[in-house]
Amino acid sequence: MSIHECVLQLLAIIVPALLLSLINLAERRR
Amino acid sequence: MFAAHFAAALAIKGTAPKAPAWGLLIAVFIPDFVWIALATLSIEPTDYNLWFDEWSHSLLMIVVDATLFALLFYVRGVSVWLPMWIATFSHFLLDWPIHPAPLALYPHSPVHLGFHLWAWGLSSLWWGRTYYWWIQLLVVFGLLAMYVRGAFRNGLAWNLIAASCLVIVSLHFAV
Repeated sequence: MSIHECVLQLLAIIVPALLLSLINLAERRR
Repeated sequence: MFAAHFAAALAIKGTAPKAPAWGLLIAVFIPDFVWIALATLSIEPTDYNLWFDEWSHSLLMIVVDATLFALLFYVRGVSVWLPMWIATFSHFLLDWPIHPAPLALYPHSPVHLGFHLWAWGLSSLWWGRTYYWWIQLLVVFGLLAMYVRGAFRNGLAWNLIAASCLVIVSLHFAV
C-alpha cells in the first residue's frame, strides 16, 4: 500500500468518526 | 467498506451508554489501523493474489487487540471495558463471512476460519451493486436498528439519532 493509499484509508475512517463523535458531543451538551 | 464497523460502534453505544462513543469508534477500527500500518510497511501485502493480513486480522491478534484496548478502560468499570472489548472483537465477526482471504486462527496458522466468498461477493446483484454491498446494507440496517432502539431508550434526541444514521447510510451508499 502506498503512502497515498494509506492516507486515503485513514481519512475514510477518521472523517466519519469525527462527524459521529461531534454528533455525540452535541448530545452530551444538550 | 467501513459503514458496518461504524454501525457496530453505534449499536454497542446504544446498549452500553456509559462507554464513550470516541472509544468505541476507535475500537471497531483497531484491526484496520494495524492493517493500514503493516500494509504501508509492506508487511501485509494487499495485492489480491498475495493477500496476507494475519497479523492484523487473525482471530488471536484481534482478541489480543481487544484485550489490550479494553485494559485501557479497566478503571472505568465493566460497563465501559466490556463494550470496548466487544467493539474491537466485532471487527472479526463482521470481516469473517466475506473477506479477501479467509481469516486465520493466528498469524501464519494453517487453520483458516472464514470462507472463499470474496470473488462471489464482488459479483453484481442488483442495480450495479455487488452481493457484498447488499449484504453489508442489511447488516448496517440491523446494527442501526439496535442503535436506534437503545438510543431512544437512553433518551437521546431523535434528530441526533437520525444524523448518526444518515452519516453511516450515506457512507455505505458513497462507496
